[in-house]
Parts: sequence; C-alpha cells; structure tokens
Amino acid sequence: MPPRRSGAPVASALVLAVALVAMLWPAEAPAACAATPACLEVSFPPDLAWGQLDPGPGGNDAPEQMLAVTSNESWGLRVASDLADGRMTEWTGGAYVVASPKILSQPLRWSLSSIDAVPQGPSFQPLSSDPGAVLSGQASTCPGACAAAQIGLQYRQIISFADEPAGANDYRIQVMYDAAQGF
Amino acid sequence: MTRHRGSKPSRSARRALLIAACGLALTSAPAAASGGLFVSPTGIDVRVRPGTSLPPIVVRNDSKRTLLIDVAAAPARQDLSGLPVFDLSEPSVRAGRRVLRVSPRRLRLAPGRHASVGMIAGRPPTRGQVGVYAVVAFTARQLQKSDTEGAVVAPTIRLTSNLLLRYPGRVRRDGRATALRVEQGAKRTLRFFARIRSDGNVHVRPPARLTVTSAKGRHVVRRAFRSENVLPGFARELPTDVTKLLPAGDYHARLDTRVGRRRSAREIDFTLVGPNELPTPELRIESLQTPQPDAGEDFDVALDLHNAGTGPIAPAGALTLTRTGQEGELSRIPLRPSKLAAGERRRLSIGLDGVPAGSYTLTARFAEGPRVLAERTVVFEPGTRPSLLDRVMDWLAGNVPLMLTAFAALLLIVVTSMLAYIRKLRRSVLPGH
Repeated sequence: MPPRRSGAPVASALVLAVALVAMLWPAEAPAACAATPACLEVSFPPDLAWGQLDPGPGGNDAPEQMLAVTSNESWGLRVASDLADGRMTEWTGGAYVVASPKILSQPLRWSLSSIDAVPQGPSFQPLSSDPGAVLSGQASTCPGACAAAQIGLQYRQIISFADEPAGANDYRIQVMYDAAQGF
Repeated sequence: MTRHRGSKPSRSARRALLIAACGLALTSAPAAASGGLFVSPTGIDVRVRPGTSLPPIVVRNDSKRTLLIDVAAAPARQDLSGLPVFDLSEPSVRAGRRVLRVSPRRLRLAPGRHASVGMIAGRPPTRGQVGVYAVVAFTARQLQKSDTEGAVVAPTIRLTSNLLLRYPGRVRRDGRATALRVEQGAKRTLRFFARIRSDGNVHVRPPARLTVTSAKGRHVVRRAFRSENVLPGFARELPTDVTKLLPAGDYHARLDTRVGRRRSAREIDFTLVGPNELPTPELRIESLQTPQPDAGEDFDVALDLHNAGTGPIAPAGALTLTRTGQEGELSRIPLRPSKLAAGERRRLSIGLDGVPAGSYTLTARFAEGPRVLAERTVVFEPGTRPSLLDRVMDWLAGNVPLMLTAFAALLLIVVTSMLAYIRKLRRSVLPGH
C-alpha cells in the first residue's frame, strides 16, 4: 500500500504564501495619524433620531453628538446643513419630498457642548448651508502620541403648534461636519 | 483545504492556519481609536508645471460602515485662523478641475479599506500666476441606512487636503504685521495673536516674535509666534500662548516680523487685574420683566443688566417679540446701552407696541459675533380689554376710600341743605316762631 500523502504541507505552503502576499501587499497601507505626514481623521457620529417632538418655546434637545478628531497640525471644525435654511424637511426614507413637502417652521439649532468632556456654555445658533465655525485654531492632538479630541455638539429643535406631523414619512436634515487643517 | 467536515485538522494545518491568521492580523489596516474617515497628507506644498503629477492622497475608511466618498478640487482662500475657505458649487468645481485633475472622483470604501487619489496639475488660472491655492475635498456619507425613526439628523463628514502649488515665475515675497491682540486663554494663559498680511505673489511663513515689557521697562516675556503659511492677498493670525505668570499691572507688548525684506512691528498696551488675568467683562441679564398688558395696549418692559466681570463692556443686542412657537419676529428693538463699567448695574426700559390676544415670547439677547453673552426669555399673554362698564366698576372698586369720603361729603351737603330748607320753610309757615 503506497504511503498516504498528506495535504497538510501543501496547504501550509499555500496559506503561508497567502499570508506573505497579504503582508507585502499593499505595502503603502497607511497607519493611523502619527507625527508625520500631515493627517486628519474624524469619526462619524451616529444618526440622531428624536422620536416624538413636542411643541413649545423651550424646544426639544437631542442627546449630545460626539465627534473624535485626530490631527497632527492645527485644525478647525465647521458645521453646515444640506438645506439652505436649516429647516428639517419631509423625507420619504430615500429622498426629500419634492411636491409640497412639509417643512418645520423653525431651523435646527446647534451648539458646541463640550471639548474633551469639559462642558461649554450652550450658545444655540440656527443651522444653515453657510458653514458655522464650531472650533478654529485648535492645537494638534498629537503633541507626543496622537489622541483624538472629543468634541460634543448639541441640537435643539423648536416645534410650533403650526408644524404638521410627518405622517408616514419622517422629517430629516443632513448635517455636514467639515474638518480642515490650516494652510 | 485539509480540513473536512467531521474531522480534526492536522497539527501542521492548524499551525499553518495560525500563522496565516497572525499574518493577516498584522497586515490588516490598524483600527484607529476614533474610527472614521482618514486623509493623509492634508497639506501638499510643491513646485509644479502643467502636467506634473502630485503625491497621491490616501483616504481610508476606519468606520464600521461602507462609505461613499465624493472627491473634488476647488480654489481656496484663507480665513484669519488659516483654515481654507471654499465652496463646492458647480462653477467653483469647474475652476478647480482646470487647476487640478483628480482621479478618481468618487470612491466606495468598505470598512478598513483605503484608496489613493491621484492629482495632475493643470494651468494656473491666470497667465504668469506663481502661487495657486486649492483644496481637495473628500465628502463622505455612510451607505447603510440607519435604523433610526422619527425626525433624523444624518451626519456627513468632509475632510480637506490643502494644496500650495508654486508655478515657475518670479517670486515676490512681501507683507507686514497689521495687528497685535491678546485674549484670555484657559488656565491662566494669555494668548497673543499676531496678524500678518502677505502682499506678495506666493505664500510665506513669516517669523514673528513677541516681547512683553513691564511698566518698569523690564522684558518679562520673549517668545516666537507659531510660524504658519500666509497666502498672498490674505491676513492670518498667528497665535502664541504665554503661561509664565505675570502679576497684576500694566504691560506693553510688541510684535516684530519680517516678510521678504520688509520689517514691521505692532505694539499694544494691556492691563492685568490678577496673575495672567485680563480684565474680562461678564454680562448678565439679572431680570427681564414679564409684561402684563391688555390686548392692544402699548407696554413697557424693564431689563436689568449687570457687568459681573472685571473689565468694561459695551454690549450690543436686541429685544425680539415673537408669537410663541411661531417663526418670524413681530418686532425687534436694538439694544445698545452705553459702556458698563466692571460691577455696574443698569436698568433699561423698552417700549413696545400693543399686540392682540395670544401667547408671545419676548427674548433679550446680547451677543459678540456668534457668541451669545447673555440671553433671557419670558412668555406672556395679554389680557382681554374689558368693557367701559367693567373698567368703571374696576375703577370704583379700586377707589373705595375716595368714594366713601366723596359720598359722605355729598350726604353732608344734602343733609345740611335739607335742614336749612326745612328751617326756612318753618319760618315762612309759622311767622310767630
């Protein structure tokens, strides 16, 4: 009876080859932000959903939205909306309603609420497609090893008694967090 | 594969799998702590000619969802803090394409994947232009739908890479210091800002130095400002923090800089009210009276201000009247009281026109740029205007003592007159008496 040939060496060689290729390719895989070269990384905050919004002058405050910013140069953060006047608009789930959409009467308001867990005085400003400065001239977060700066933002939506419920649809707005380093 | 269902893998195969797993673990992209969109390099400063390939920009998805990323180049300006100012309107993106050809223009990146974006320099917008400034903007949104319901705020991230392109031509470096200011930083830090303008045809990184002198003429601080790029035609504020504790007193600060061959300086005087403590105003609205007018009746509102800080302030704000929960201001009255000294209190009285019955919100707000210094809101409902009879009855009810006195006086007059008349009548009827 001929000796049974084991497939193990062949498999081992194959797997090692795959591992080697994986180690060597792609060689330019970027590391996380370090001292050089200049780099910037910003995390996505989760989608923010209010559920039920109540009418009243005090408005509805959303839970704090956190962004983590890592930058090895001085940096700034701006916020803007996709809708010019910052008012949440009826959304079908795939797109804004085009024909006579329901639009909330008041714009969504934003405020910087914390920097690295240090509370900042609330100062709500209406959101619009013109970028509003959240922070500017912030120092590098990589003085030695890089650590992300934790930036908290809060949103407030005032609902009027004239605002209609969205019915089967939802109200929606897209918020753009624009992070950049100085020239 | 040596592994079959129901059988154990051989020892060598298991070893191979372990090695492979280690290899793959080593080669997978490191998961950044923040887990989002990563871009590097975020600044490229190169000499180019039309057709020059620029170093590629690496963009990586460190988030847990697939990202759709739009890539676009656009001409950029610079704000005072040095951040790029640009827009991604169609004309701007068209102008960006003439300066820089970017490829690819759209990316779809699975979690942990990265891509390189290549760029080729085009012609400068104007013939003979030496410095051309642009950004490559990466606008990313998550593809998977979230399971949130109700009113939704969906986030999008935009990161930019700044491009400083120098075309062949005669370089002219020029500029000057235009201002020096100081503001209170965190934790007893004084933050000085040197404003420097570039008037040449290419960006500069001007060296700038700060010297602070005490009232006795002794140099107490000497340090350099952070040297940063200033684009031609723009001004930029370069910061430097002074953490050395300076005692209360008067000081003199001087900024010295050199841009190209031109030297310039700016000087300011400032006062500290404590160790590294600038006189800082703190405006408070101590009270905003809730008005109680009748419907349609003009009314006054009293607003009490207090400067609780250590420096003077000339506040600017407005009193706005809106229907509660509705958009649009019914009236807006600018508030510009004269300067309040440290510790000073002041009452403002503001007259407003009458409003119909309903619920109204009155907001007093003082701001400095986008920063709100003080704000207070009250909600009120004007009463319905009573009828004439009700108002007369109300007046009478409110003046009972006066009415009683008047009634008593009238009664006295009537009784006295009646008695006099009776006496006169008796005399005429009974002449013997």
